[in-house]
Amino acid sequence: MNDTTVRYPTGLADRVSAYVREVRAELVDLPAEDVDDLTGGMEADLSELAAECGGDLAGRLGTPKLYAAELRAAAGLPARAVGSGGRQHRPLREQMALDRASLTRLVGRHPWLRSATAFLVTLRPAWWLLRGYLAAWALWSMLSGNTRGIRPHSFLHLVMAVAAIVISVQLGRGWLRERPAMGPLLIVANTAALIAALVASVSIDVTYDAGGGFSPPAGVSLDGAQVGNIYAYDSDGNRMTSVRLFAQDGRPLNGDPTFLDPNGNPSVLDVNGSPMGVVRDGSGATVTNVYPKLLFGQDPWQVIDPADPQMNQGAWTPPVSIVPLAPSSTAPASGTATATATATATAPTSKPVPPTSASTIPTSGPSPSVTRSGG
Amino acid sequence: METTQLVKGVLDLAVLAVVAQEDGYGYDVVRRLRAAGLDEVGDASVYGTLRRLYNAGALTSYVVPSDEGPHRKYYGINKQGHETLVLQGKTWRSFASTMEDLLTTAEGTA
Repeated sequence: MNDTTVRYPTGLADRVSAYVREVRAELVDLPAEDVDDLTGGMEADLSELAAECGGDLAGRLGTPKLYAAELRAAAGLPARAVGSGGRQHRPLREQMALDRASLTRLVGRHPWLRSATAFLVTLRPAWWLLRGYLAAWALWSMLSGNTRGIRPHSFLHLVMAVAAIVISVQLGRGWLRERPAMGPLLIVANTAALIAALVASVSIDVTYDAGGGFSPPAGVSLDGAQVGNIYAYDSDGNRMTSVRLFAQDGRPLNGDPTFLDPNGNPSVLDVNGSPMGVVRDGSGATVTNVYPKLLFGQDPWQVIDPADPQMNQGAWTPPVSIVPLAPSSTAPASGTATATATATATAPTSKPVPPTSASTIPTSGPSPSVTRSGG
Repeated sequence: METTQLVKGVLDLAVLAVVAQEDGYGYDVVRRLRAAGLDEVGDASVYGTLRRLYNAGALTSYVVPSDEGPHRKYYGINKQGHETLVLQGKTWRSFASTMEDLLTTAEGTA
């Protein structure tokens, strides 16, 4: 073969160096770390081989180009792109594959990275679910132009959420694996979902901040605040007891619904063991729209909580009587701006009621509505 | 049948088996594979395979300085490599025995 060339070791060493240099040149597009890994010790090995075969490395191994290609293939590295020089000229998809390959190698080298990766991989289905839900949330938030709350607001939203989750899980299970061109699209979608997640987490806070506006307090409320009790005065300005109040649609103005359990029975007992905020009508049914409510087992006109007097300091004390209405008392009076003024508790008759006696409950009231009490 | 293609499929297993006997550097592994009868094996394929197995955590690697010239890079098997060897060995044996049965049956009917 090459019998005419010099055979002493220095000549062989030169050839080996030249061969190795050419192989390295073929690997130049790989990270330097990979090149060193692949060609480390190569000089020593090839020197041995060259000594055996008389220096004809190309005859034994093929051209450096072929050798490098075989090396890449066996090492699981991507083949060299035609005409590609440095890293920056590589097509995105190829660069992604390379980065993934070097990441895989990095992970393979460190056991703790391996277990961390395995842990994350088991979490992937959870991410698919979350990604689908976030996509649906982002969509309906965009459609409605408001990102408040992350729960579905309608049946349509629910359908969107289910559809998006199905799509996301199917994507995760490899829908697009046969279409590598969709890979970058998937990355964009994942990034978008992550951004949506950030926005959603902020919007959870918003929901809580604005919570009062979304779920008004249960029972009767005044300007958004719960009404604990109602004190009624007749047209002569005298206290009325056991007044039953109804809204314009016949619903009883029930107080705090927690006074009744789901079966409509009293659920809260006061210090004396008597049911709180609940009375029974003549048929034995529980009603909670009777005012003022007997809340602490004592005179309902006494607003102080005996168990916690501190809490009631500065509370309003209902006067024994207030300014009577003007004689033509059908129109709302102007001088009685108390907290009870807005409650439509104007007594149907102008008959004075003594504060201590129980006033008669109007029997003409919409009694069937009692069954709706307790919501 | 193209033996090169067959060798490609089992090169990981073959390299693991050789290194499991004794630590070796790249060309040493090539030589031992050939001595064992795998003549078709390509040098660069073995180097690449060693590199890949090392990156997958199945092999250890260390450099041995040489007085005469460039250093040598040795590969040795570790616990994970042994597990892989046992597992892939089982797969191979079961596959080989399946093929053997298949061929015996075919030749019997021929």
